[in-house]
Amino acid sequence: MRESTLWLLHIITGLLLVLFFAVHLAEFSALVGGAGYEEGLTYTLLSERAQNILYTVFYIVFLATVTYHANYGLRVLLIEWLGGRWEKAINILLILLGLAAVLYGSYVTITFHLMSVGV
Amino acid sequence: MAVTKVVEKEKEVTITFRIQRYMPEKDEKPYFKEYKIPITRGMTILDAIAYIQERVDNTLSFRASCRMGICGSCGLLVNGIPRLACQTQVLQLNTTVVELRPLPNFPIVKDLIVDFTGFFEKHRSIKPYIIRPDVSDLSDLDKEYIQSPEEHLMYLQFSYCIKCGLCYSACPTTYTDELFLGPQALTQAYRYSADTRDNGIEERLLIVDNPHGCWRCHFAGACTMVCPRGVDPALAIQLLKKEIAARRFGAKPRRELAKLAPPPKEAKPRPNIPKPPPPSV
Ligand code: SF4
Ligand code: SF4
Ligand code: FES
Repeated sequence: MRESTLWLLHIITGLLLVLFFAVHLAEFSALVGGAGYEEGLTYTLLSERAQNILYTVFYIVFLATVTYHANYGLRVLLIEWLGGRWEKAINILLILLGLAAVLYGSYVTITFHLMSVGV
Repeated sequence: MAVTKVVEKEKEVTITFRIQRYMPEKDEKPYFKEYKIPITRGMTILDAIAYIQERVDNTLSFRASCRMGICGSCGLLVNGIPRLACQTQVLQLNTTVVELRPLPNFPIVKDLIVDFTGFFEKHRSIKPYIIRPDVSDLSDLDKEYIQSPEEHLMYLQFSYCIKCGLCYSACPTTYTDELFLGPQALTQAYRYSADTRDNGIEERLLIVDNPHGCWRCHFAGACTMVCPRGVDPALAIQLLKKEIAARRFGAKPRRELAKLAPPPKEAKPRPNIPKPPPPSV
């Protein structure tokens, strides 16, 4: 893939993260009708929200976005730190780590959703 | 009254030169050797090392040619900063100890001489020449390209590069990623692409848009700081990124290729302008 594609995705995910993080905070904020940061984090309330499939999808997308953004940044650092000859190895390692993070995170989120709707 | 001309003898200052020496066949690793020599006003680092080679130690090796900042062969690390030896006056450094090392980021051949092979290969890889859709344009010697002064200014600054490698030796990315194209080659990729006589921009953008191309530059600007010709490689690299990003966002940068035309023979010169000498070839 051309480097500019990866770079553009990095910028786009960076912008998306600002938006996602705002949504993530707003969910709890009493200012926009949430339960506030302390009460909002109780198990009952969390599981209530997890019944909504949109909520589950949002967090999986959020996780994938964070993972891509962080891994691209890490890749740049590692290529610079270890030298360009390690680029292939670095790519493979980071793709595997990224996939593991997203798959495990999705598994947790989906399980919680299923538990909450009582399947 | 008779006018007496007094010619004062220039004051001499003794300066210590700590010079890195290395002979790969003989030495295990580079070491420093000190030379104390008299320096007068106006002497450059190049004058000083030539002095040492002629009168103190004829085994010292260095490279230089034009001694006027044009050939780009005399780059050295002077007190930690890449500079052209012929363009740096010793007293301007304001110190009594001057440390000279070969340029970093290059393999050492001997003493102060480094190997530019890889550097020139990277330069060559970006196609540093005018690419025309019709190759025969290039051999049409009776015609010239029509380019406005504004179009000329788009690349003029970048065309001052003398390939001295100072930017390359100062760049932190080149230091850590040996495959990075480097500020010099990337700047030339922009220089030729921004020239309206050239039609090779798409080809060159594909060459620099790789994991070791322009995206690895993090715009620290060390290259621009040390360039002895005011080229500003850091700017050229950001402009390259801009060209690529614009295309990735779907913008179709439109540019007209400079046309060939016969030189304006009929033009009348303004009065009082002397005639040029006849052509010599
Ligand atoms: S850009 Fe400047 S520092 Fe770099 S090689 Fe050209 S003249 Fe030398
Ligand atoms: S601006 Fe880019 S090319 Fe210039 S020294 Fe910094 S990283 Fe290297
Ligand atoms: S000797 Fe040519 S640039 Fe210094």
